[in-house]
Amino acid sequence: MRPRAALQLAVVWLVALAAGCSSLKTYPNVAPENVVVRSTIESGSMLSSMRGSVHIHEVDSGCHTSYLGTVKLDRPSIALGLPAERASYLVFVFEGSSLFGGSTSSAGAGTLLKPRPGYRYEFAVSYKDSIYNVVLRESDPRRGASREVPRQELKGCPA
Amino acid sequence: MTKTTAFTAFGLLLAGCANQPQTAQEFREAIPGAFMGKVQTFEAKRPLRDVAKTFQARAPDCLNVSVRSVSQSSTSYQNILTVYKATVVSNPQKAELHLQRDFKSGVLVPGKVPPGGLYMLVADATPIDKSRTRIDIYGPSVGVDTLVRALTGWATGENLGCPDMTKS
Repeated sequence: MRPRAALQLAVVWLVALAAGCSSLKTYPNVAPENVVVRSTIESGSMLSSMRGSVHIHEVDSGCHTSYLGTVKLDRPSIALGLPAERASYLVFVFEGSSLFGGSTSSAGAGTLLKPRPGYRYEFAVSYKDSIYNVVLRESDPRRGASREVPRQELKGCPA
Repeated sequence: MTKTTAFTAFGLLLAGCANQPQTAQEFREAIPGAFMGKVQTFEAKRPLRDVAKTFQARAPDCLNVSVRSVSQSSTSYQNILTVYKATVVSNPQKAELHLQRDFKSGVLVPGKVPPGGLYMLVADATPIDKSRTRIDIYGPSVGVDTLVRALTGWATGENLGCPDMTKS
């Protein structure tokens, strides 16, 4: 599945969720917890609300994705586990809803991540004043070194 | 009026219900005289090459997205799928960012739609001197505040975040 298609799918899920027919499921966490997502999400308006979540897909050797589950970003820091040395595709989605208008909309960004054994990963996710950012850092606890990892689209998936 | 409706109305006014701008240059020429059209100019205290580099890095990540918007009331239901396409063209004298918007469902667009969709916004970056760049943004006067703020952040280097295109 290509990034655009994956994002569209995520959006369809959100719409389905709003309609009360969600196919979303909670991501079954994997040990060890090697990823932390730190998020600050602000709607910027008293008349609307904004929620964040991350949809997690596994990626096979042919770069095909299959949906594993979703983690709601409803706390400032959330730890989760992704299998090491296997590619995962994470789609961060920000869903807004109007308190009176009955409308929903969502925006998002996807990135591939293939965790290295023993390494830790931290996503800094922010949404403020309709501007969002997703920054990934990789750190090696043994050496204390860390680096920012550029976003990798699914179309760059090494088959 | 939703922003999509506003943008569609803007497109109709821009086109005079006839031909839509088919190129970025046609869009630039149409905006100054268009109702609800606006040209915004500001200065970034960064060299052109840095601004161009940021445009090239952020535009594909942030602007090549699809957005589905659903709104419903007791009497209506609207479901719109919009695909955005950003193009960055740069050379040592200028960097251009073109943003197009293609309504895949939920909106009827009269006239010929250029490949990639209707032109929504064009940003031109040109050097003032070695360390400053002038940015000219051509677009509608309403509904693109978030996008313009994001482009401003990219140009100045102060905020590299992506605009929520559901707000554009």
